[in-house]
Amino acid sequence: MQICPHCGAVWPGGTPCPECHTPVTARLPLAWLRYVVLGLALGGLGWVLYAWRGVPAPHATIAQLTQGHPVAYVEIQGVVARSPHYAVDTQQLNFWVADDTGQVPVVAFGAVTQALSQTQGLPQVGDQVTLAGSVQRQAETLTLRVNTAQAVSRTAPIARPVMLGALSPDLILQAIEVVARVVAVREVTPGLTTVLIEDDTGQATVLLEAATRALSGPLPALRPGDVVQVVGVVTRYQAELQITLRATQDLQVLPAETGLPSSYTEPEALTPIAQVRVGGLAKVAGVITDVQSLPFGFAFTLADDSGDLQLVVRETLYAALTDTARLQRGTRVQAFGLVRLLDGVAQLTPETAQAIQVLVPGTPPSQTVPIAALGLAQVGQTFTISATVVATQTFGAGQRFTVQDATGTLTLQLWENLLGYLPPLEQWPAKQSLQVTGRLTTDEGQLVLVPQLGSDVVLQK
Amino acid sequence: MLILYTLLGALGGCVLGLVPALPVSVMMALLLSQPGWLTPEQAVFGGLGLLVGRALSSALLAVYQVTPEDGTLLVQQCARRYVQLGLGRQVSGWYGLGSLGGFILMLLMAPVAVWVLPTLHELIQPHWPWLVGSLGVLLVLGPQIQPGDSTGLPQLQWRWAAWRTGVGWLTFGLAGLLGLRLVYAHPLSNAPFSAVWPAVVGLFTLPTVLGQLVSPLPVPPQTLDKTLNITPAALGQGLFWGGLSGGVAAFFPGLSAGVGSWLVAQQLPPRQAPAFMVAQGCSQVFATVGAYLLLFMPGLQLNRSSLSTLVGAVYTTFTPEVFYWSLGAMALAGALAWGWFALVAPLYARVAPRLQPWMGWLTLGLSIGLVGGLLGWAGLAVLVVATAIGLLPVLWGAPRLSALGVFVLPFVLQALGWGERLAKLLGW
Repeated sequence: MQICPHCGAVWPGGTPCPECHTPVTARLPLAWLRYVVLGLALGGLGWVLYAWRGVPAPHATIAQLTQGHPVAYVEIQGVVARSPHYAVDTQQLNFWVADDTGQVPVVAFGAVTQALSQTQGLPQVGDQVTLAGSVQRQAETLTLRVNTAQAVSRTAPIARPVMLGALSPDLILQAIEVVARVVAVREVTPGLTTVLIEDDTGQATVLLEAATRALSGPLPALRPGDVVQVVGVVTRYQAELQITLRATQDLQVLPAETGLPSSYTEPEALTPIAQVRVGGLAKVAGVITDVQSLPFGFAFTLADDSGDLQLVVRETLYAALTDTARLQRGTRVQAFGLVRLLDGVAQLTPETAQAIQVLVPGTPPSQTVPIAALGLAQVGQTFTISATVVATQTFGAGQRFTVQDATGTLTLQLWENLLGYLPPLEQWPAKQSLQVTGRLTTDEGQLVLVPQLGSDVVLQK
Repeated sequence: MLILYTLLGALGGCVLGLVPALPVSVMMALLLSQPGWLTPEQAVFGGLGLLVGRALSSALLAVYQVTPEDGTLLVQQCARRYVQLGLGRQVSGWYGLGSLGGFILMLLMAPVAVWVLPTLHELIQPHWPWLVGSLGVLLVLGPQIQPGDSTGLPQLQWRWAAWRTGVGWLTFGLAGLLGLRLVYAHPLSNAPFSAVWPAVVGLFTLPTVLGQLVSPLPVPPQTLDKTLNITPAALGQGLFWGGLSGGVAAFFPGLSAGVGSWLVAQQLPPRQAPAFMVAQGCSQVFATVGAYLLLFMPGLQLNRSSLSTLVGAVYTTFTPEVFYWSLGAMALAGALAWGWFALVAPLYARVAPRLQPWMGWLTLGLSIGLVGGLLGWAGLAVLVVATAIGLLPVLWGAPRLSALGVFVLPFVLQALGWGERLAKLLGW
């Protein structure tokens, strides 16, 4: 019997449906549909897998992960922030990756760790890494799990030679190379070894973690006084900067007769300011364009044709200079010393008075401005005024003067260290006239002129 | 106030549970994507309410219409016969009873579970891959070749059974490969929830829908019996096996509610319909709501569902207090959902015959619309391929739950560390 596929009527067959006249001829065998679906399943899956080869994972910052980024599989870029932890028995690898927005722990298991170890080596502190993985959240812990070794690419950092005095927070997670002398070796906790080293410019602690030792072997035998070459990554533990070893082979004992670089040795050639190397010694020449009084000394902005840096002169060194009055704005100076980076600014720090040489003395400013011309729009700029002291007030870090000229009054603030370069206040006549160069600032809404050098204040008769 | 969000979620789950092809994780993801709509605490309790409501209301869809997800596939297969006899109201009543029993069981077991489960987890954790892998093998092999078949069956039937087993393996493997690709490095990277979702819709929901569109089976008028027609022994049997099966599906990683449903079928044949349907309802509650509550269990905090992943991304303060609050909220939501179910089930039984012609098209349209709208062409490609894979067991007579390989195989491969080698081999 035949069932009509259109209206459901039943008849013996051989003719069109007697009810709706639908021709019932060739009907698709079910087997055809089966094989079409089989082909669609196999071919479709193959095509989808092929089309998705090489599709990149979306990029996310670490802050986006910790803020509950909805994407399950992401790529992040950053630097390995801590020495990895590797469990040999479970072949579980844990390490932290940091970018500008935060840090995240990364984990890899078993075969992935093996593959990483065999192909490109396990990530080490200081490595620049780009990796993709699955975001996993359990309780309050967020982890990025690497599923395949090909999803990880790492670039070992290039170490720059520095002297220990140049270590600063700006160098954290950067690789450095240091030649220094061993002061002491300690096993702080089982597996954690520290080596205190020093050179002419300072001291630092070299750290060897247990996981690093497990992977690369023990340190060579060290004694106080040994000269060593250390290649490591600057890290921070609480407030102290340390040098973390990436492998024990990165600490090598040099022959005993090896000399350490000295910060007292003048380099032979001048270096353009833009080409000074952070961490090394440099000799530069330039013109002082600005001065800033610091709690421990003075910072002169030294500029040449290529750029500028800060010439930092400690108070004791400044006092030892023979012509301190000549070290002012407009002076052409040659100086050598250790270059360090602090808050993104290059600083050159001479160690001795002989390291600073005045080439062309600057001319003290002669053009003065009336007090009435100074306003909030001029805050941050340097001006010279000629005025008379009408009142004096002591504050914790120095003296404040109320000064007056024909056009108005202004507050003058002298730091305590500058007062030492002036006659004692008791010897000042009443209504002392003075010519003052200083930077205009504000204090609780009031304009204040702040000289930066002792020579910025000239007492007039 | 948070309890209020649970109750609102329960009502929302009850209503939205009648919308096919709309899982709770998608609902929650859409809510969380709107800034300022939900705080993390509201998401936690609201999500719980959604799960509770949907666990009950989805039974109506599964019994009368289409299959919402893998966990109710066997429900639909068993219920079809009774619906044709006009007894759909009975069947949905048994399922609802099982769900209510599941909520009560979880409440009673919670104090013991807090003490036992963390220890059990520590003991079993190293053996996950082999346990889950064995379940996967049983999924494919179980109903095909039985001991003694080769001596009793004619040659042709033996070959046909072997061929169907082969198709079962093929389905398991293809679904697993698709799931593995989605887990490893999926291009559906903008999915704010599990990337496996379009594959699940294609593997389980759409084959049933397409079958019903091609060969529609009209729903005859249903009788509205006022009694539940079940013995205490059948109820007890159903609750016991349902709780155990659903609990396994919730506790073990890489498993879904479908595995819980399948485990019930291994203990209780579908012809024992009252106990079977009660067990299915209880299993569904354990496998969905119970899996979600494992995220809050002190000492455990397991992520066992896509909703847990979603909520866990925004809420991180897990304390024992939160766990016991959520238990209480679940009880209240369960009571509200049961009351709604008791009211709506008879109404739905009346309108089901009229809804039948349209539900298939609605499910198809919603599936394509949601997947395409949220995930684009890549999501639709996954949907089409998954539907083709899901149709294989339908057309060849293999067990449909072989498609659970989409969950089981990726987990087993990754846990054993073979996923890396396979990914490298396939050029991922």
